[in-house]
Amino acid sequence: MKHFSPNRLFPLLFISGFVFSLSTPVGAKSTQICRNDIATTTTYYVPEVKDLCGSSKPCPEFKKAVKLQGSGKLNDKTILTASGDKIDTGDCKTAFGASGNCLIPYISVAADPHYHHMGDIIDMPGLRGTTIILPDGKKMIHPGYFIVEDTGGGIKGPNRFDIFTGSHDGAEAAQALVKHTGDEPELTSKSDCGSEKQFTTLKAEKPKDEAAYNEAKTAIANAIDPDRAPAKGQTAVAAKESLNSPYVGGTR
Amino acid sequence: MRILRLMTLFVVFFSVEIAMADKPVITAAPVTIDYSAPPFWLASYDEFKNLKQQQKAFYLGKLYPEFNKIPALKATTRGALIESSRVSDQWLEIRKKLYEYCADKSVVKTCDEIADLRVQALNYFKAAK
Repeated sequence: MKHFSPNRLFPLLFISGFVFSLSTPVGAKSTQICRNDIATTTTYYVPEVKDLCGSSKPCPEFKKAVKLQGSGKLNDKTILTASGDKIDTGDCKTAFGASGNCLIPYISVAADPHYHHMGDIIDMPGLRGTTIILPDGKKMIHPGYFIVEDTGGGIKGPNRFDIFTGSHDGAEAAQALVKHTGDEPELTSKSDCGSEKQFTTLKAEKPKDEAAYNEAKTAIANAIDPDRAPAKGQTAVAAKESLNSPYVGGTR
Repeated sequence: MRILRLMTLFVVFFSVEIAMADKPVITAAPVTIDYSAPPFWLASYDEFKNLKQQQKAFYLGKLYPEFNKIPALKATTRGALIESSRVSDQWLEIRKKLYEYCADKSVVKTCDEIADLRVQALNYFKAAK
């Protein structure tokens, strides 16, 4: 039986360490918990001043929530960021992500821009078919896909995702994404590395399988608004345009 | 005997030379750029296109001085950069030149600074914590 002597092992460790350092983009400090093909997830939301303060005047509780979540809604058209900036959201009913697009609850995620382009689709089959209660009380059958639309200071690493839940705290509300019964997938706990969080990335940048990328977009559009979903086989651009429609104007 | 040995060495030397000369000259294969894999030195056209006006202004304003450090992009004027940001093919051309430049590991510091501008531009409007 052959065994490694320390003399052989050290160069191997050195080489593997060197290869690992090459695979980590400079400037990206990974804090991932789960292994690379399992998502490490948390949730975030945009708190609303009227929900926390009972009036349009920001109270300490709202300011604390803004600091914690990154931003908060002052009114229907203005977002207050943690840095104190006020952003006009126009027709967007939720908030804008770093991508410049209007965020979609339970579909938009924040990811590490060192590893993901805005528009990358995260395919998580374990979540497909799960019923989600949306902030407006409506139900959504989750398509099993997320779109990278945002970034976050604490979101580091190739498999680290922060799921946007809308205007309420998905971790506290009775949501299907939170493990209340034994069967539901839990996406709010970073330390849960269950197989239901296994994922692959469909790259927005010249996707290797463009048909799969477009199909994912169609499935997302179908899930968030079946009435306005694009037809199967529709182009990515058209699918993309219809994606945010329920959260930009309209009467959802 | 000595002459015979010298002649043998002479023949071996020239046969090796001839064999080397017959071999085709191996040139470096053209570098294929995978824009979908990190590190992301520059935003893709689609990523840039969706940004808010303030993000675009911030990004282009910071990018322009950095281009002075890159020979292939040094001649790019501020106006040309703004114009390129509106045309997919022109943006891709700039991106290609930058990625080719950044293939040289000795300039990684400059390239990291440029890559960081993309992250800063994105973070300009991040909603997450």
